Amino acid sequence: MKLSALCSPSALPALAGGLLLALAPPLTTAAAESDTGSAGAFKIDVVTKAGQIQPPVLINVSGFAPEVLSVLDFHLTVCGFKFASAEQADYQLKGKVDGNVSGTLLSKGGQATLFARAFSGGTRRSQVHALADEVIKTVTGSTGLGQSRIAFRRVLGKRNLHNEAISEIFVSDFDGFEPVQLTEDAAINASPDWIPGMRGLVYMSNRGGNSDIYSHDLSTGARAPVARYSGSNLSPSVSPKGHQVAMVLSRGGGVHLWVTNLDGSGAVQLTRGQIDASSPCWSPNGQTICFASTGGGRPSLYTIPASGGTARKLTTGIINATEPDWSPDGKAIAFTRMVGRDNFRVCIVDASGGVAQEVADGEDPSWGPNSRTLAISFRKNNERTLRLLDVPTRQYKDLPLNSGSCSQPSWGR
Amino acid sequence: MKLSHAVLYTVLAAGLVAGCSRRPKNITPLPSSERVGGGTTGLTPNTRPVGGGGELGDGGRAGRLPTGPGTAGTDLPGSTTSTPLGTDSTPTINKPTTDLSQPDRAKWETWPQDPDALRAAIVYFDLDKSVVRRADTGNVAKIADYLKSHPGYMVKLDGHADERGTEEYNRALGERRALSVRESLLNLGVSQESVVTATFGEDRPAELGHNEAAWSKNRRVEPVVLIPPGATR
Repeated sequence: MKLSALCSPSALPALAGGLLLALAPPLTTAAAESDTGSAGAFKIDVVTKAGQIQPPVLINVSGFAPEVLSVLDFHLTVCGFKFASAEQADYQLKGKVDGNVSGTLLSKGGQATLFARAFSGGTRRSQVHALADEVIKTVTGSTGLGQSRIAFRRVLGKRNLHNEAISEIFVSDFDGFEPVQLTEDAAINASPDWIPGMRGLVYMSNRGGNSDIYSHDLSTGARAPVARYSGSNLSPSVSPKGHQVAMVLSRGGGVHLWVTNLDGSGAVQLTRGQIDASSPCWSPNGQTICFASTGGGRPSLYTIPASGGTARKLTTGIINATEPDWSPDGKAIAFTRMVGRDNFRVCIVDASGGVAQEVADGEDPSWGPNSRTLAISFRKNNERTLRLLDVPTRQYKDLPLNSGSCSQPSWGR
Repeated sequence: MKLSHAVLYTVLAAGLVAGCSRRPKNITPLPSSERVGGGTTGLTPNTRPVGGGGELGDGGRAGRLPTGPGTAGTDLPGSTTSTPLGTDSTPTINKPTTDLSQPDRAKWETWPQDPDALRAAIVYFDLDKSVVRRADTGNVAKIADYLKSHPGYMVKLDGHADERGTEEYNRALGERRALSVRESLLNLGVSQESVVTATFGEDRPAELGHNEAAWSKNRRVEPVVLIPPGATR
């Protein structure tokens, strides 16, 4: 039932030992995961359709050193591929690492060469990711993840005099490598969100004693306040064109959705009254904002025109829905559904509303640039860790960031 | 499972670093991966702040900017628009209310804070609720009485949630609790100019445990007295 129980990197010891098995067993078997076994426990408004889980693309990989194979496995697994024997595989990737990484992709049985490329420059790891991008593009036509990065919040495991969980903003490559600590405030820093083009970030920090919103330029490290009003300034989300920020402010005496320019000017209040707000996100065309609201009761997802107007409940009957994130292709919204108060499920609903589908245990989903992989946060032993989930196949990999509680991923795109 | 990951990543990182001495011009180098092999546990790639060059402006750090594909591939020889919104509409309620706006930040921001003066007036809440319980109205009255007997003083209401619930929801919940106490104070005749709110979500628990005994202590609003300049305590 638990995803973690299904994570069986059974091939890893062999890889680490330097043995490249031509018939490597599947590294991830989460494809079998579904919640159908306990469907009766769910409300009928959330239907889990096991039949919608797609089988992975089987690929046979040979000729690479173990460390290269591991990077390939991570990248391809979270994009819906699975290592298989040459007999079973739909594709064959033959490679070598001779200073640089090179690879040849063949169709089933080696009948046709789909590409043969060598990669130079960058690190060897970036070359492997470029090779994975090429495989994904050739087979599925979609973009890979090799150039993307993830921002997140990391609780450093110590508390200040006020008992506060000190947390800082980090950025890493999408696979968790090259992590960089962006803030060193010894304060509560949270809710990072990328400025499009990965030029910088916005996030919440109480470094000044109040929960305020800052923008952070990645090239200079310069920070600028975006919202520092009385009350709380929370949950910033940058518009797709990077000019505006949606956020939650209580300056007006209610917890409401506001939009400002990136420099904090031109603040406009979008919700009023019982339509309070948390965790807003933008549609990719910038015209609509989705957010969670209690609406005077249990939290549900709402949408509202970014220029102001009427808030509409997106999901009928789905209760305890929070933390929406709109896919880059505009088709779906991922969100967290609280089940009771201790369990969290990542769900997906069509952007036009309707029936949602639970896809994994976890919370706070953020779509990757390919609109199929989600970065999610996963609770274990009262700490959170980050996981990448391929939605169509349910395959996943955990990011190697296991020191300190990591949460609130924001996938740069 | 963790161990095998650990071994794997250590081996992996070591192998990768060995082969990454050259970087293309268009990749801003991060601090080199000294992490490899340096750690005693070797469990994960270490994280270390970017050294140098980042300490600018407002104290933030610089990070690597996105670059074009730093890795070039060469062929070897031989070789949205948004969808319609839901139909179930819940119109925004534009209930005309009295102005509940918070006082200007500049007014109170530099005032000394006293978290102890009203420690006996902490207001506690039921699970996932922001309504002040009948049993706690006495504590709200204590806050109101304090403000009435200390003209010119202000109170900051720090809202908190227990660790259950999602992070941003908890932040909003803490703020809703603070605003709920604020509204109760206003109903008792306290001026809106003398009460501000804040939220810490689940990040500043009164008790660190992971059980109801701790959680019930953490679902709270703590009144912090803001002392005006020149006032004697």
